[in-house]
Amino acid sequence: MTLGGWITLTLSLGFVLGLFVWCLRRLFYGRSAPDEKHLAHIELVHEEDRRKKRR
Amino acid sequence: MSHRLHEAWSGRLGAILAVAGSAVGLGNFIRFPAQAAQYGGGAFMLAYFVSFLVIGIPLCWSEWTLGRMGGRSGFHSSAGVLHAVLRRPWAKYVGALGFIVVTLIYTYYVCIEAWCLGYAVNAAAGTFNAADLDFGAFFGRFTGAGENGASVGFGLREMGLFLVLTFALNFFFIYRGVSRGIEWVCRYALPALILLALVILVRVLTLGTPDPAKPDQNVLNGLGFLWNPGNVAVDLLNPQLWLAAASQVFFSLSIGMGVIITYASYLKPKDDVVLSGLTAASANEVCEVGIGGLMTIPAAYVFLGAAGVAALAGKTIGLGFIALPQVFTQMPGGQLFAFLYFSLLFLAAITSSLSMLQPGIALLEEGLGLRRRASVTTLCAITTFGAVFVWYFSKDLKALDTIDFWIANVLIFIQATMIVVIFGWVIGIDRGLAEARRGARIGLPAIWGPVIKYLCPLYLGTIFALFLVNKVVGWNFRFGAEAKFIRSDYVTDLVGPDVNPVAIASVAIILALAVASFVIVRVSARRWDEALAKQKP
Repeated sequence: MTLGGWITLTLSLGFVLGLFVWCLRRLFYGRSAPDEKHLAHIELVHEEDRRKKRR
Repeated sequence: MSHRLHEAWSGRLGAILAVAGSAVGLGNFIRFPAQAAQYGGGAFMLAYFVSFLVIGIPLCWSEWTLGRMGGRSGFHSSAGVLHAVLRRPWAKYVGALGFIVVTLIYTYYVCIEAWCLGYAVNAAAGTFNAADLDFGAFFGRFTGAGENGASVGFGLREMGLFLVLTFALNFFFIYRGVSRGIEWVCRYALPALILLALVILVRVLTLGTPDPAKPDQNVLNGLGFLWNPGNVAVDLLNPQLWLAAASQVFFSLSIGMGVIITYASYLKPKDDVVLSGLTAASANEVCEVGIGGLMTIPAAYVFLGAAGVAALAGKTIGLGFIALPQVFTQMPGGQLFAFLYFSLLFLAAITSSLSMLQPGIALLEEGLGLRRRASVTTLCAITTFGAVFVWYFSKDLKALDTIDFWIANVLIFIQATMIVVIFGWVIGIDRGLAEARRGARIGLPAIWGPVIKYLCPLYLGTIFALFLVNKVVGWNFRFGAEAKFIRSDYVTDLVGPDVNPVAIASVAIILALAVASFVIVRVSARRWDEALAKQKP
């Protein structure tokens, strides 16, 4: 195994393990969803279509 | 549709485990190391991670979001979900691809799953310990790769009994439903397979140099065979490397199949999809890179040497079912580890095969109004026909290979591109991202907007064009080298003087299911429109 091999292995493993651990931390210890005030306008596509038709 | 409304995951973790279970499959432990070894560790990993970030993550989030949107209206099949979310006449036909893809993949995947079960039982029974056993001949007989119908039998050395058992297990759990069936299996199978994988990994990494007469055949050199970068700059000019990396990401993450759309549709309206999608994808990557990448090739290398492994590079089935059983027999405690390894593959396969059945169950129930018993019976009949076809016409694994090529390579790309275009352009990226952020437990940075809207479809389109040029037209080119024109077997099997009847029949089955699926969604549309009209605006 060359130095390049070790670097590739370490970076690849580090990336996937780091991402997974970070996700688990957020999943179990993270705060729940942020406030949804800015999402109040969100609606399904067909709901907007329906409103346009009514107009 | 009221009888289906109670179907839901028991919690957020259940959905994550189910999606991760769907993603973690045979590809993680056999296909990934075979591909990485073929194209050289460093360059392949670079292309792999670029593909993961540019198409893997965006498609995961797109499918999770679309699924949850459709689930809010009570729809769970990708056809129903897209019909409910988009309300366009063509949307249901795009969604129907989800049913076609996973149902046809199931017909051969269940056969490979049965091989895993059969190999685990044979390992436990000591079949592989026989001194005069020819592993290639055993594989040919067990799978029928040697002759059509050779594996039709119900003994220990034929796959019939194991195929029946595998089918029965799959449909038993599917009949139990989303939470009591799929989630229950994933809740136990996923930790169990990770535990098994870690036990085998420790065994492999402590092999050292088993044969002092061959000091080069040691674990470190085995790791180096997979991970040493080679000439990265030159390797990255090879379009086939990018194609292999992108295909591996697709195959591995279960994206572009409609599975995630169906699974996410069982979430609650305000359940998180951003962190859940990322967690499921990263769990899959840990199994693939962290376990599959350290286990399979080094084990093969220390016993078969560089030449033996090089001959297997890219040959997924040969590596998993011919070389590795041979390797285990030479390993101290090999009988036990062979049993554990094939049990691990079986567990990984069953969590994936269950995910291939649920979209079909959802479509039959919400489209045709079938109850669970009827939908399970109907899907069982359809998939039994396909699996028996693959089982019997097994010479050179022609039926399996043909369906795999046209479905798991071609149709998945098409469906994935359509999904990401729908998310980024038809729904609109701002609306799509806002929908994804609803209930999200992590932020979804705005940079993902242009990635999903522009970069992902462009990357997918380029890779798909390369794929067609390379695998269908047969033009094998790489930048800086002379192009070679090699006619594709997948095409010459269907047209020209040397047509293969099994390949033609395989494509006919694909077309027949496609026509049937389009008819089902067309018939279903009226029922769906009525259900949507009754819902509050």
